[in-house]
Amino acid sequence: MSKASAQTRADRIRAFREELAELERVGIVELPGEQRERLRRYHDKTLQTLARDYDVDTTAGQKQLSWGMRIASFLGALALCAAVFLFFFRYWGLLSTATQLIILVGGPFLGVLGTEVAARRERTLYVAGIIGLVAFGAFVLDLAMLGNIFNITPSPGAFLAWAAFAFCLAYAYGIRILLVAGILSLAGYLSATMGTWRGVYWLSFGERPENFFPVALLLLAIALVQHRRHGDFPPLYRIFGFLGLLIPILVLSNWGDVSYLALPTKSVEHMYQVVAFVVAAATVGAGVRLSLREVTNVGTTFFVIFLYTRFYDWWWDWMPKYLFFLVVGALSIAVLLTLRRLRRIRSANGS
Amino acid sequence: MRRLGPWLALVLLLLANVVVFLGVLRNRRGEPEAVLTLTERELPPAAAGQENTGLSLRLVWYAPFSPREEGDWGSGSVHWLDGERLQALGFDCSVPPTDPRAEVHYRRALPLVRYAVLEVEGLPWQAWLDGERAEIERLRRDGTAGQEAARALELRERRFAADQVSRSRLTLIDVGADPTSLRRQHPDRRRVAIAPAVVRLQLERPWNARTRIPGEPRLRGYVSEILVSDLYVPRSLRSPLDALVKRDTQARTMRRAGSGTDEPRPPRYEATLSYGHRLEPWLTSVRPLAERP
Repeated sequence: MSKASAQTRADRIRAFREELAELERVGIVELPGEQRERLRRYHDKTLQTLARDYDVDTTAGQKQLSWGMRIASFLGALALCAAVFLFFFRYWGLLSTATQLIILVGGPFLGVLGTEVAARRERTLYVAGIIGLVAFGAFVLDLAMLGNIFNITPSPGAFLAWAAFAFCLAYAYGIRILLVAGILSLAGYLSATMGTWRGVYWLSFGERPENFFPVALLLLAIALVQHRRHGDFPPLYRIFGFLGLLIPILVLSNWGDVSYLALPTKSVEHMYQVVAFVVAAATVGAGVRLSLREVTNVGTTFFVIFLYTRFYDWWWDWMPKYLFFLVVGALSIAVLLTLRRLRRIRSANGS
Repeated sequence: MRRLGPWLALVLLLLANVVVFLGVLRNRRGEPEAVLTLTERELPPAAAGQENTGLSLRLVWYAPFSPREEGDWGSGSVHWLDGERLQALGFDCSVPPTDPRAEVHYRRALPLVRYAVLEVEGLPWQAWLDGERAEIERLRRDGTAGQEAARALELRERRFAADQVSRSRLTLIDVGADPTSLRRQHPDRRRVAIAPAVVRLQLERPWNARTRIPGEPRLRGYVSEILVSDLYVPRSLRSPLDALVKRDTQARTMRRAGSGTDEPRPPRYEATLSYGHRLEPWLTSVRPLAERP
């Protein structure tokens, strides 16, 4: 069982208890005392086991605090990374090359050891997450500054090393923020490498948004692999996979100039405008059908963005502004009514 | 993975650092590919913020401008980097510049990484000096009356005098796809360095100020960036530079406050820049130059 499925079980028990209490209050159900006691003992024991083995939140208050702790640890990790970078910049000019190298190479090593020690001492992994992200930051600093000290020609290879490092730590400890760091580094490496196959300067990879399509498909393929220990990782792969598809499509539907396609600019834009709606609608459809909330949310957000950018292109210049916003508002209400109708049909089918 | 992950991360760290160090060793092993003696003109200190104690020197170079034709303003691109050369470098120049599709086709062209050849105090530098002298001489001879013309001539003379003592003498003389063949063509390793560079292409429409008619569109390339332009100064080489950088910072503060002048000055130090087998540079020495009275 993964931590995510353990949390789902704990949430289910909590919801069951609340509903049972409500049913008993209105007199629909009345469990015999002994049976109720047995059920209570069983659920208490299950929750204790889940809390001990997976550190899940067993009450609503705990859950809220967990979110606060997650946000605090993320901000703390970012601040510590900034501190490491700025500290090095502040003093590196005063150090000999040998000392610089010892600090640069030693920093991420210490970070990995610190993450391991923290993970052994604390099951919640908040501190391990902070130290892990600092270790990742120290490794980024390490390779970037070695390039600076030895005047090395920049290459995308460093992104691959950073991605592999972040994935190692993310999968070892189940730290989601490190998975995000790994996904972004991998996206940077693969899209830059795509450009270099054509002899193009690797830092120009952003000038052709289509470079991001292969990495987006790769991320979506990884999401299909079963993650038995890390059930909360596939949603992140799916979110970044769909973002990797939909953001470039959004750019290309507005600026056809930056496409690889050897077609007139307007043709490229029109083609990607059609693709945008099809892909966004398919994303929403897939999310609803497979009950993947994050996919539905990403798809819906982009469908709305695509729709509004089209409205802006078609009507902003020639319509009076009040009319433009009136039409957009009216269309939003129409979309709302359509979705409500769909929801009713789905719930009728479900019942 | 729980037990293996941290070990894999440590091995990865080790491997990545070893790969970097092996690359540095390979670059610096044996005789350097080129050794240039440059001065503050070509390697001024790079600006660094107060929070950064590191010191770098910035490689400053010039591309020879297109020779001016009658009234032609030129564009700053390199005149010998034309369509044919750009095609040989790997750009798709199949659409003629006069074709209606050319504008879109060349606007979409992406930059390529190729090799730039930089020469210190070579023939192009001499040609530039001679050209400037001749131009000033021509302006003097023409002797157009009026305060404005006299001021323009004076400005030009002052700028040329400043350039003669402080302008970088490092000039872009060639661009190619193969560093070995470039080295065969430019064998002087004491004056010529080959460095990876970003080459871009543009469709130019030269504007003739006299006739006020745009010329025929043409393809020109230019080097937008030498990939390693900031050269780190290790602590062992910093001593001649630290005092200068401090003095410059004080002078800048005084200029901002309204006192002090911004006079051109001759170079105050000389540096040896070596390029290794991977065409990556490093500073091997920095020596102060005797200040002229």
